[in-house]
Amino acid sequence: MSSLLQQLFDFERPETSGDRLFYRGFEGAVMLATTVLSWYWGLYAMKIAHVASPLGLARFLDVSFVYEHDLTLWIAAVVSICCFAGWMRVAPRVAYPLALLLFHLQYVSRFSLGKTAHGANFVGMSLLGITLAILFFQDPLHQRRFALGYLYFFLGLAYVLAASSKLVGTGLAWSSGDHLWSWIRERHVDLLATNGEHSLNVLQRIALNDYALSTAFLAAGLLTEFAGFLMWFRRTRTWIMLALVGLHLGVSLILEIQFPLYIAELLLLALPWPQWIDLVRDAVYARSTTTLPEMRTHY
Amino acid sequence: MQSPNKPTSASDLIKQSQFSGLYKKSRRILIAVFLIYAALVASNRGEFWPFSIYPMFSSADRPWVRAIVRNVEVMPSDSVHWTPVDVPDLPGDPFVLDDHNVLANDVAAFLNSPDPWNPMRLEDLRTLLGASPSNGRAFVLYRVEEERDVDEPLRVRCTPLLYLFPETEELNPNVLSKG
Repeated sequence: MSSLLQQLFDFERPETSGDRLFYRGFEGAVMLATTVLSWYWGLYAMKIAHVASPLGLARFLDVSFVYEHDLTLWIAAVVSICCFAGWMRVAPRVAYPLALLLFHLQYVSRFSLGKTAHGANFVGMSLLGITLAILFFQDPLHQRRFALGYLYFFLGLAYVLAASSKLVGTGLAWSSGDHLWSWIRERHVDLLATNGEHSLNVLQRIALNDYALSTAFLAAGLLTEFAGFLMWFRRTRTWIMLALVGLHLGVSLILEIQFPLYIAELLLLALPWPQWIDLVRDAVYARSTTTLPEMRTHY
Repeated sequence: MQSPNKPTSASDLIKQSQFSGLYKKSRRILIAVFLIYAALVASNRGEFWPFSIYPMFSSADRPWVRAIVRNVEVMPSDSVHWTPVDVPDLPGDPFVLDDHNVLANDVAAFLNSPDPWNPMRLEDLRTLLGASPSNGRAFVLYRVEEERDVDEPLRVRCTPLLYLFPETEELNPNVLSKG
């Protein structure tokens, strides 16, 4: 457990300005995604008049009131203000928890028709992690390290749970190629309904004609999801995250289901952005000290 | 928490103790969130956003049911047809959900709900679609599903469930009942 915690949080490692700048950008990206989703869901909820299938908080509280008086738009406005205030460190201990609560309310109001979506789960988990970091840690360095470690843990867990759900729901035969065929047909119907027309793409045609390839695709996807826990370890983190980006891109191509937020967050957390920021900063600094030698006298 | 290097001074010991406290606190928060996660998804059918067991595509062997909406030329006084058709034989023009900012998942979920088709639900469907058919036309909601028969090649069948006329509705008497 100690070793796992060290792998996740790495509190001892000295922080660079690249680490700080990266986290500021990452937190800003999470707040931007929260704001955009709040408005998107708020506007969509105007098409909904009643709760058909209560989710989350809506199972304990009748949220029908949010469909009246354009309340979902007011909620989106408050979430936006809270996200910006928290990011600017204006009362973040109040702003972030309030944003999280209202973001949840907005989600259960939007997805009250019976079909849930998971595309924004990582944004919600990130907002929760950043909020917990602000609430439980004083030092900004510790807040940053905790939030990232928390995310590595729960994002990794999410993929393992996704793989486990498949085995519980279907069993080992989940990766049988004819299941992929059925989903391709299902998506074909959805895209017909969405766009009025739809033709199968090359990859879909190849998969529908090759059982072994379809089975291999599903088996590779299942194994990659199961390996999600490798995100918990520094040495394997980047590789498994990039493999999961590949998994999402594969699903985008073969089932035409897009995961832009998952892919963006995985790329933000997988790639060595802090080191790249430090490299750029060092290069800029070296250039400025070479071209402007007189400035060095001021240090 | 063990540091990679042995502490050599009092300041090292203080630092080590500080890190140990941070790890303990982080562990407690992780365990608490994990337990809350488990309790909420276990008692809420696997979903308490942003917590989830991520059940997408987990039931691979179950037939699916989706929805398609068509815009057809028909008068309320005409006798409407309830015969299932194949996808290429769907009558009229497509009602393009994307043009009306409606997600296919929501129409399918609406169709699959076990609630009775009372006037309120029909009105909710009109609100969701966000449009009304012009005079002489109707929106027809189709239930689309795979027909799996071991002796027959697999086919996708579309069953008309209801006609939404500008002012009235007609429900497939073989499938739906008004609440």
